[in-house]
Amino acid sequence: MKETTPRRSSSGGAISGWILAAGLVGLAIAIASIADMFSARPYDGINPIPYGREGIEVRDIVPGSPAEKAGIKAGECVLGIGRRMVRSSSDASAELRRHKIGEEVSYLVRNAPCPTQPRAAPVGELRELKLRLSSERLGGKNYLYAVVVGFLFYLIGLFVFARVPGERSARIFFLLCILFLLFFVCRLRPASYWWIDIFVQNTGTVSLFLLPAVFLHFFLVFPRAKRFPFAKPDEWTGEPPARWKLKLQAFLSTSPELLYALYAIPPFVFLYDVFRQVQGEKVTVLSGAPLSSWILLGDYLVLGLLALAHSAFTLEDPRERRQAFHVFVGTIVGTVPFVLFFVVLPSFGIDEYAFYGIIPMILIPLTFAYAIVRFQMLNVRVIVRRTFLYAATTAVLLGLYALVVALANVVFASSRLSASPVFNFGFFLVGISLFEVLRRRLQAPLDKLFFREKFDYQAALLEMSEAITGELDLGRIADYLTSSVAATMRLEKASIWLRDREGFLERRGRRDDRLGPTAALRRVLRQEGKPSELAEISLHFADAESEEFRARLEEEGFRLLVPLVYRERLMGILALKEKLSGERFDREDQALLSTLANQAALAIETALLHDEMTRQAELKRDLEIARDIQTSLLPRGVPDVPGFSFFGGSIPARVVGGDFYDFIPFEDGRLGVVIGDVSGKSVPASLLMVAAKEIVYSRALTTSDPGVLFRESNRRIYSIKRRMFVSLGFFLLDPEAMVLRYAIGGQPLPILVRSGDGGPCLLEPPEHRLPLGAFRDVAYDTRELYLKRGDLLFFYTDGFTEAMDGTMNPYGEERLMVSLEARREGSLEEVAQGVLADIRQYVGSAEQYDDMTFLFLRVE
Amino acid sequence: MKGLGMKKKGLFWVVGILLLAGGGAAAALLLANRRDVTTSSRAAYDAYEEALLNQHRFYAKEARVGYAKALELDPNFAMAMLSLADMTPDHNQAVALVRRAAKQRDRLTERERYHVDIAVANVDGKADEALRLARELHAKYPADVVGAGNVARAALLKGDRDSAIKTYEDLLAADPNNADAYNQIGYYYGYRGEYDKAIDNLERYRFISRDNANPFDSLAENQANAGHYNEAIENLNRALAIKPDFAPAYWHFGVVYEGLGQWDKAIAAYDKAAELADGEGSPREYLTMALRPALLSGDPSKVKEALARLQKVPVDPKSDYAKTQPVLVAVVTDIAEGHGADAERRLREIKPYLDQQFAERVKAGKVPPGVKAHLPEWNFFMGRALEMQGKTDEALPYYQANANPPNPFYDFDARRWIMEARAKVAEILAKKGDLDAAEKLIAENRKWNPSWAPCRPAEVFVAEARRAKVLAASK
Repeated sequence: MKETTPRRSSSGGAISGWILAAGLVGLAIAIASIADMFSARPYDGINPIPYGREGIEVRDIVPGSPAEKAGIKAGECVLGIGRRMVRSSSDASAELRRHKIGEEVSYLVRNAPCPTQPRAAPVGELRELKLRLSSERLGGKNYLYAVVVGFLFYLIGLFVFARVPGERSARIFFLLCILFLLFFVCRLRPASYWWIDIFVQNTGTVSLFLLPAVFLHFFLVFPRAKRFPFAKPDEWTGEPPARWKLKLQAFLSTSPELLYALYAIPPFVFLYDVFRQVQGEKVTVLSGAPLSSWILLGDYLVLGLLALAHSAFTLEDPRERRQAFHVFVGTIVGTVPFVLFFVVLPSFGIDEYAFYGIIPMILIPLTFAYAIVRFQMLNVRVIVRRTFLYAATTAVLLGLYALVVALANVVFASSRLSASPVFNFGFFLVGISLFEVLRRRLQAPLDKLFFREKFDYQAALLEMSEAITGELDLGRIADYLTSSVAATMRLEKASIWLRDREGFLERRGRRDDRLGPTAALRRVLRQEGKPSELAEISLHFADAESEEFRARLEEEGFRLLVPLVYRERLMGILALKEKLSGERFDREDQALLSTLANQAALAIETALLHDEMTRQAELKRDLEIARDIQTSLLPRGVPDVPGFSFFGGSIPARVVGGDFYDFIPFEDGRLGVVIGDVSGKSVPASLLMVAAKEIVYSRALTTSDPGVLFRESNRRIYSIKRRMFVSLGFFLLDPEAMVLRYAIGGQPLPILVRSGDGGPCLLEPPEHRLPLGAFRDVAYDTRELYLKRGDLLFFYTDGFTEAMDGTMNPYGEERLMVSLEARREGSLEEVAQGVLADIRQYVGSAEQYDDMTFLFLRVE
Repeated sequence: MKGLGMKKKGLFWVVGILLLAGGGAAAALLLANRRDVTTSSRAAYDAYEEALLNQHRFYAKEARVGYAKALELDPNFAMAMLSLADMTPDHNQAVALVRRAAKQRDRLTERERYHVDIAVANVDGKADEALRLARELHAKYPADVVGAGNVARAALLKGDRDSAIKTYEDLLAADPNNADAYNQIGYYYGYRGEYDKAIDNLERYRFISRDNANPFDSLAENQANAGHYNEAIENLNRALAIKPDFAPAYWHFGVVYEGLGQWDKAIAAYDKAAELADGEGSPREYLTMALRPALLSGDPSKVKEALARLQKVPVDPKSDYAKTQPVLVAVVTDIAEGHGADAERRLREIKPYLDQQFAERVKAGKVPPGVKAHLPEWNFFMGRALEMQGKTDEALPYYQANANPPNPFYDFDARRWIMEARAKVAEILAKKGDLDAAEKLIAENRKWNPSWAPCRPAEVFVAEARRAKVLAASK
């Protein structure tokens, strides 16, 4: 059962409020007690038996005190102080307060115990003694030790309670610690004769009979409420258990009635003893309280230890078992001496060793502290602030250093070295240099021991950083981030949204979950630049997309958004659900996430760049492949047709072009010339070019009529790939007949430069000139051209006429013809070079828009 | 709504704190200015307090002067009037002071009104009324000495010493440091012969009272009357070291020496006491006390000297002493000189007067209810006078009357009369052969004081008689 979610109901909050108030009151009383113990006051050295009514019976005398010097002995009765009769400790305290330290004061003392009845016959003799009041502070080393132990309990309990105030065991633990504080500070102290003394001592007494019950209560509910399932159906007959057994089981299984009884017994026993004392019966008293109360305390402690031992050895969860075991060891080591020296031995009249029972009790709060830190006992995170623990370590080292210096002084006392002023200084230097080294070296083991989680965090951070730094796969980075963060921080879940090429933040694994580039949430997160609670950023934007995104995340249970920002660009968002423990994300978590986010953002950016570079490289490779294909399919040379000369070439606009030309020789001496232009670029265009060529080739085998050829080729090309078409021109040269028959599908009309005075002109266009593959059936027709010697035919693709200058003006057919005309006399290569030069001059620095493929045919 | 609730809460807090602060300030003011007596003058109050302290110390002269000064500073100081009335030997002056105090009644506190009413009742002879008021006062103000004192005295007069002790113990419960209470309780235990309890209380009285001669004197008186003469002398010396002119110390020296049988020293002590007398006892009383050791010395010249000193004390012609003192002197002279018949005659002559005096006092309400007439001195002298004439049997009833007084005794002086009377009765019984009764009476005496010199002759006689009887029986 997950019981760690601190959902506060109103009654739970009220209970926590009361407990906190009790803590504050307890602290105030403890402070008052300490102030009382350590403030200088007139003191006589008498430790009275409280609750007397007919004078102050001396329990014992502090050695060396004014009372001892005056001759007052234990068992005597002080009737008057400073010319006033005193009947109780409060009278005595009021009277002592009237005097000063060092003042000589008269005491009226009877050398017999105080009477228990007001008019009882006096026993013994009265005498008047003079005491010079001393100024001792009542609190000695023993008390100081008890204060330290008490405050250790209190601080640990307070911290645990402050972390998880809704947790029942934390509340009881804090109460227990308050009682321990009151017990150590207010109970284990001598009487002070100050007005606060009765108040404090009574508080200590109250703690004495509450402490056992709370101690036992705590271990009955820690770490799990104890159950005693002994009422079971009969194994053989299946008969249900007897009602009384069921009732007893219910009662013993940490029922409220059991707890009431546990709490009621100690005060009842205590009050009964007080009643007996008031009636005049002799009641054995230890440290101001009836011995029976101490024995009862011991019994409860033993029962509590048994309950704890039961947990330590029987819990199923190994983590809880470990917690309980550690606490058990510490508690038993701290408690057994107490029971022995403070309860058992005094029962036999041996109470001089009582304080030795207190000394080991310091292990109890230390054990709890260790268990809290090491095993997150009571679901509490690391409690000790770094500065505190390190300061404590530093103090310990300083103490060691001081000890070493003192020892060195002793060792070297007799030598001449110690007389030298350089000695101490040199020692100091050595000490300081070693000290700092030691301190740093201790830091790591301390972290590992006390800040396990922090240690884990750091290790996790290091590991994650290393893992993602070298990773170039975006998916792997994302997956690793989400899984590592969820594991390290013990989250329910973590998800990541990453930026894609279009600028959307797309959820890893769910392509439909995206956040658009204009969503205000992205701007907010980018500006925040640090982890933000989802609830806190809800108010910052108003656009529907962001709201919808937020709502979706909230519905899914996400709590924290971590922006991954690199150079002001939001590379992604890491969304975290709540921790399995139910705790909030504290500063340390946020610091870790911020660091990780920076690392992750960088890694993502790197991965994206790498991705882009890879894509570019692939693209380049594709283009190179296409170019190779294309290059391999262009004719390597020109055919040798007597009386005709040819010159052709192709200048692709990008790496791979879509234009081609080729020659199809026929057996009867005719020559087919194909020139074409495929829509699109890159590999698909090249492949279509190849296919188109092959189609034309294959059709050319069956028919030499260009029109028919095109009709048939068109159907075939149409069936290959729709929406990609080929502009073709097929020209069938009959050298013998000096006839050129042609069909054009989408290609520009070739330019004819007639020999003689005629200027360049376009060939007669066929009636149907659609590109092949655009439509399924096109009635391509054939035209004829009779050639003369000296004719120059220029076959070209539209890259020539559509070459654009910087102002997007095409070169056009007119200029092309002008260019041809100007160079008609040169060799075909010169003509080609000249035309290309003219075009290059025209376009200037503008990028070549389209491929330029050409073929010159001259009739020699 | 929440805001309003928060505002209300805040308002309550503010009001609560203001009330608390105001209450505290008021209490402080009240306490600072609180006095237990009504007076307009701080100086008068201080003088009164000092006088009261002296009165409790039994420094009568200083107390009277103090009260007078307080009245001078505040002529309407009612409590000073009452205290002065209590200490003045002049009855008329006392009555006048009480009446003056009664006029201030309306401006007094409730406790002061009780004091005034009790004093007026006493002055008016309304003993019952005074007792009733004292009981009321004691019930409402257990720590009030006047209330407790009146109630305790009334109980004592009835012989209810337990009630008397309890009354003062109630006072102590309210005020554990009331010195007077310890003193009174000590005496009450002392009267009962519970010596240890008496000393216990008186030691506490002594411990509380700083620089006061009276506690030592009280201890000494109890010790002397219990036969602890050495301790008594030590304490009396301490008392005189504190106040060398403390008359009661000399008076109790007289008791010590009487107990030791040192008659001359006793006479001298009584004489010294008379010389220093300033309120606790009068010269006449001390000089009258001196007559006993003078008589016991058996030396007529000493008696004569003692009588001569007594006669030097001026007598108010209107007082009873004007009539009775000459008779006393004559009777004592007769007894000292052995004229028993003359003494008897004078005693019988004065008896009716004395009875009449008592009846008048009863009528005037000056005698507490239930108190019967008893004249121990007359009985003693009558017994002696008859004994001197050999009329032992006739003397016996007078001694027995003293040995078994009709009223409970309430001081050591009365107890001494009882003891000496018992001794006399024992002697007579022994002579008659009733040794058992005689020894019983002697034993009763020893419970109080095992070595009281005036009783020794009788003790010796009884012892001798017993010895003789035993010897005779053994033969």
